[in-house]
Amino acid sequence: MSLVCENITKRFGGLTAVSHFESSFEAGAITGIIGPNGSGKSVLINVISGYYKPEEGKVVFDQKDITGSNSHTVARLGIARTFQHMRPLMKGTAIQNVALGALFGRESGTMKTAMSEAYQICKEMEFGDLLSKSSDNLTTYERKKVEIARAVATKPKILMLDEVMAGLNPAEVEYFVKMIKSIRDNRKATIIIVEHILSAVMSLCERVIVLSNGRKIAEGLPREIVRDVGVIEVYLGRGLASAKG
Amino acid sequence: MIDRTALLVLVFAFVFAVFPLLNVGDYLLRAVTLFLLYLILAQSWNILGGYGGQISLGNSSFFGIGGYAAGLLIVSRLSIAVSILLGGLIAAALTFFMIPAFRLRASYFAIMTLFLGAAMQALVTQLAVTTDTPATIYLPLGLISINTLYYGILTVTTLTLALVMILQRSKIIHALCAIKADEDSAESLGINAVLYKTIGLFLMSFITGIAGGLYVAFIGFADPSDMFAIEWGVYPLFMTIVGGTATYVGPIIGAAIFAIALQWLVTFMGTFSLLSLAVLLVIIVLSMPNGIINIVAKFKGATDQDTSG
Repeated sequence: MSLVCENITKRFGGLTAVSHFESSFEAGAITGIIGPNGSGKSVLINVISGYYKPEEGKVVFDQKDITGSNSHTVARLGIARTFQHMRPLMKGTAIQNVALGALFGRESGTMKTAMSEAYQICKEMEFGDLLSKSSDNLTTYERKKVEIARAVATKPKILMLDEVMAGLNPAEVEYFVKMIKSIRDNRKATIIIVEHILSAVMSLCERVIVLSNGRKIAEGLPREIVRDVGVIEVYLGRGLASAKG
Repeated sequence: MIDRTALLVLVFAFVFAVFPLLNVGDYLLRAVTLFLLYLILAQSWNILGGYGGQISLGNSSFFGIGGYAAGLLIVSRLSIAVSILLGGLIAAALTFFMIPAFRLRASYFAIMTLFLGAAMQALVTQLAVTTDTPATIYLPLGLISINTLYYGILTVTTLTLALVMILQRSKIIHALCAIKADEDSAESLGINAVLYKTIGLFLMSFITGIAGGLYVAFIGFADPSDMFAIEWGVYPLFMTIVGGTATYVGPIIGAAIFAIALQWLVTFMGTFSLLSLAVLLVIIVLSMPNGIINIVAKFKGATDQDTSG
């Protein structure tokens, strides 16, 4: 598995959402992308997943240029993603929603194999009673869990999680951190996570990329990032950064 | 396991196969023939409109083209069955012009189908004028007996029901349901939305085109103003919504209610029948937004109506 972003620029009219972004993602690593609101994190996810076509630059996945490919093509190549708004895609139970991922994903299966695949994933993710709960009345937490499981069911080489922890309580966040680690270990997936909850990012990620106004301003180990003057400036303002620096 | 849907189809086919043997009289036989025809329209519309959430208001174009083409072919002495089948294929071929509409979403698709219906009617009428042929095609009298036609239509109805039953268990309906719920999320799972919507559109137009041919055989002539009338675009919508969209039984109930209501309204309301039908639709949609089938399901305390089976 290899994913390389080469000089990606995405504009919306006069606004440059992502500017000359360069990075490569290591197989099996958990990479966090952080930054203030509007810094281009989700746009970047959308460019990699084929939802947006960048104005400049290339997305190279497994030595193949996938820039501007359709979302479903990218998904079938093995890059899965979740959306910030999470909606069940069918009536019926949670596990049936998870099975959709296995039915259409990278190794698209039959109805039968999809169900047993979904069952296995739900077991790994400790679904418990959620398994047979109707998708009509899921809590936010449960819905996010279903959405992640559904993405995992597509058998991704890369799993991109877009603010999956927003709106969760601390106990739930802690559980998600554990769960995402186990997905990486059990499923041998490379994980890219966009997140606002910094404590989660720090305990989960092996590498952190910081965006501000569409530009990458820092990249490194979590403990390096928290000491980076530029990053502190972006998050807390200039005064505090110079006081510390 | 022999499941309930398969059983339903078998019982349905059996009951309606036996029905003419009861010597029910010409009027009732014709009324039931129309019901079976309406059911074809409703269940095929349900594939793309109900499960897939892509609302077509222009099925009159497929119905009209299928019927009109079948009429022309029958007059040129092709066998009736082959003519009707070819009519369906020609209607389905029309969908290739509509695939670009799938790049647009939801309501734009509905608007485009509506215009397609109007455009097809104008095209056929104008073609008749410019080529100096009468627009109305009359089939030879006594071409086919009502009994033969009844069984022909019943066969198509049963095949349509069987097809949707098979689709329900296939990837196609699951993909369409996911697209209806959220096209972006569906794409992110590897579902090719344009492909599956095109499959749905193709099946719907093919079956609707066949229904058009059957209708022409039933009434004995094909006239553009009748075959392409906007009603044929609206009826399937009416039946499916009244019965319950994205359900298997919904269109069956909807078609039955529609067939009875239309007969009754035409008899008692005369020129006001269409207006009354519209009022009826408004009342039903307001009081039962999910269709009659969901009221039934609520009473049963179970929701077995969806693809979740």
